[in-house]
Amino acid sequence: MTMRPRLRRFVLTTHVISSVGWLGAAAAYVVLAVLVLTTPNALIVRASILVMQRELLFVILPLGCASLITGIVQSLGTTWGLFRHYWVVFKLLMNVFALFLLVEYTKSLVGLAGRAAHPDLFGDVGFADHAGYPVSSGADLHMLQDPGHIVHSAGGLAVLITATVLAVYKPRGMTRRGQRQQLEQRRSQNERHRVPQAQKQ
Amino acid sequence: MYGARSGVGADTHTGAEQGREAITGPPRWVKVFATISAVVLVAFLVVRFTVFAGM
Repeated sequence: MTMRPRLRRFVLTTHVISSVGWLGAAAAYVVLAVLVLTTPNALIVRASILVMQRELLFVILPLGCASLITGIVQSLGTTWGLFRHYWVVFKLLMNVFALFLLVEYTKSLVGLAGRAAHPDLFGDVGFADHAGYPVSSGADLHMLQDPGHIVHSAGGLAVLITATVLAVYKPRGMTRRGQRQQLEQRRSQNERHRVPQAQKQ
Repeated sequence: MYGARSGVGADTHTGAEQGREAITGPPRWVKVFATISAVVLVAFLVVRFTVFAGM
């Protein structure tokens, strides 16, 4: 089923906005993750974790879901199809995989943010570093500064960049299913042409 | 995936494939991409569930 041009353009615009928005939000998330892992300031770590949680829940996750849904609608509503071209299949797989990991990571981050928001978290805050910032050397800070933040965010960003490159370049290559459909279409078109010619004779 | 007017929705790759009647295997870039993706995926999963199992 092919969408009408106006609807197709609307779905395409929504897909581009959600996908590019997801990419930008993921890049901003990487910056926060680096800040969390590198700063010795316990309060900055705590604040960053809380911002990261809200960014995940209210920006990245909704944009990821919107990107997947609009991508599926867009491919099914155009001649590209969902399983006709390899680049579309790869994009779909990457999107589903990224979204699955995102949900898993969000669950753990929500728990972490809950602990970060607890008023008694940094019991030993009160020491100051050379710049006068509060420093915590305790286990709480170590718990919040999990390297998993950077692994997930940088990995997700790499996947999204790859998906964007595929969407722009659209490397050629049809799947077996796509080729079969194309052959069937061509055959049916040829038969339709033959019938009027036979009637003329 | 861009509309028929700008080449979106129109199948821009079919021109090169119109001459083919037989079903062919995947092109080279697909094999390379799939291999790299599989290696990266396995490496990621190993790191994710061993080193960062707590996350």
